Amino acid sequence: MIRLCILGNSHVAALKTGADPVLARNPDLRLGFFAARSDKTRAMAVEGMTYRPQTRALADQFALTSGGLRDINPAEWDAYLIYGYGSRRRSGDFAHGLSRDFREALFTARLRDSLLAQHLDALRGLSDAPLFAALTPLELEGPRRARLLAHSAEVALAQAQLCDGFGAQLIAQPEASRLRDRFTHPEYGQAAPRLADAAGQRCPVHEAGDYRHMNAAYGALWLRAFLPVLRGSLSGGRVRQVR
Amino acid sequence: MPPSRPDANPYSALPSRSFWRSAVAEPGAERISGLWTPKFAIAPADPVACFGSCFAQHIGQALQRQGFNWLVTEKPPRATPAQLRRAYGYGLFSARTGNIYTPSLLLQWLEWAFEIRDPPAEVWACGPRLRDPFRPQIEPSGFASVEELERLRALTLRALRKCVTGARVFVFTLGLTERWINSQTGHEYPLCPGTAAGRFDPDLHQFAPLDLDNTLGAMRAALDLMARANPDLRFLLTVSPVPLTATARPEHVLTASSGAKSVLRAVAGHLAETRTDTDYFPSYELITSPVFGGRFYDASQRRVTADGVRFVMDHFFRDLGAPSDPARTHGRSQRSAGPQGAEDLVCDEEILAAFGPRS
Repeated sequence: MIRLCILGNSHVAALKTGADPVLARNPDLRLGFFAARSDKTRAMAVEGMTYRPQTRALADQFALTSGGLRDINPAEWDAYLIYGYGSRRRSGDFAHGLSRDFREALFTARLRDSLLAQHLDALRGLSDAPLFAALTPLELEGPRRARLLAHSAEVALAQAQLCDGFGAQLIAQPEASRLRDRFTHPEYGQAAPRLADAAGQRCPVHEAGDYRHMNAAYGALWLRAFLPVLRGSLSGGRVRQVR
Repeated sequence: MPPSRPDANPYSALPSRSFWRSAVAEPGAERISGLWTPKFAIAPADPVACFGSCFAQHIGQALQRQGFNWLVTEKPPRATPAQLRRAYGYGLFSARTGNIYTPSLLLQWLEWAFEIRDPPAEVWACGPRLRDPFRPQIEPSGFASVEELERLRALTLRALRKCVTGARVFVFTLGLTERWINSQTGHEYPLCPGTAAGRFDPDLHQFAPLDLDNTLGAMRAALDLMARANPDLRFLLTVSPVPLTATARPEHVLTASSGAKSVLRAVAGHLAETRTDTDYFPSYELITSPVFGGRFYDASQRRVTADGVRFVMDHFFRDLGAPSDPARTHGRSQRSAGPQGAEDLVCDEEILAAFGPRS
């Protein structure tokens, strides 16, 4: 049995809804989802040997997405994936007129200030188990959605500037889902599921104009690309990511 | 015409500010007021561009804190941390020119911006990276390629042009008269080659300090060029109270500094007296006058403290008719809301201190 703990934000909904066909083909895999919208997982802290929500609302949210678990106990997991943080494009971002060096410095500054850094630090402090991270999915193509850097450059920087320091591996967005390395193919943005919310559910899918969240097909694609890397890490070696 | 009183003379009707005793000695240093009578109004909505020596950085930032319209035409993405902005020269001046210490360097930037002359092709290699000789510290690690260096400099020139054509007031702080030029092309460097970057070549790089005449000539030419581009533009000149870090003249740095500041102050004053579009704001006097006993310098006796900056800018806004808003300038922590001290400025010239003898 491989027990994978997934900690993340609303983007985890794509993995959760895309997991069924993957789990059907991988009966030895168990996924535990600890997800809350936006940056709500900031309200977590290490207490003793667990990584624990510091608010009742967040603990309730985790109970909802994980099927009853309210905190992350390293004894229950073989590997960790921190998903959806670190590279969110900000309103007003542009790339034209900025040096490459500045764009890299800005990306790195934001990355180090992100929840990805907090969660890597906490989980590595609790466990030596394989630790993975995935950046925020690329958005769908549209006007005024310029990124500072291409995804492959973001991944290389995040690996070198942050993940290496925690012995973590950054998992790139599957190449088949990427459009010119800066956007996600539009087919993966249709009917993207909303993350279940303990505070009350609204429409189960994001509205049609949403360009940030991906759907179950994307989640399945992502998990299928990731599984060989996960299995390789647990068998003792670091497996090159299949792209 | 009524006969004049027997004891009347040109001084007898002057206001109290004209007399040292009533204007300086009696009120005391902290209560001196009315040093500046603005020649033209600056309304909060008026776009104000700021360039010059490192002391000029205070003016734009103070204008912004006070709710005035500091014109910045070259910005990074909105969500850029303040430290990163500063490190890459954003928001220090109205465009990313870096420090412009001399009137002749301002004129050079303006001639490039208005395509009167082309910038030279010169770049300085620094390992695998490249430095712009005309703003050598604008990118902390240098540029990746000549293409990137020239493309981004062109954007800065466009931004400077926008400042001139779009501003209502152009503030320029004169800082130095000492300068280094390329003896073959005549181009002026903001810093001596071989200090912050580049390699010094004694056959190519020439010390060419400005004297009174060519300081005045360059400053006048720069103002004329801008006035042609924007006849409604008004100029506010200030002189940096920050002494020289080092001098290349064969004299003591203290006398060299005094000489340079005297020239700059004379030029600024002369232009303010002779041009209707130009005014002078006495930030120099507000820091350096013996009345203040050097209290606005830190232990280096060179850098201006945050209190000094606040004192200067309080005078600026009071004389302008826009009193300081204590809630805005002092309500939050000084670090985030109040004026910056010298440690927060980006002063290219300070690199020269690294070449002096160790104490």
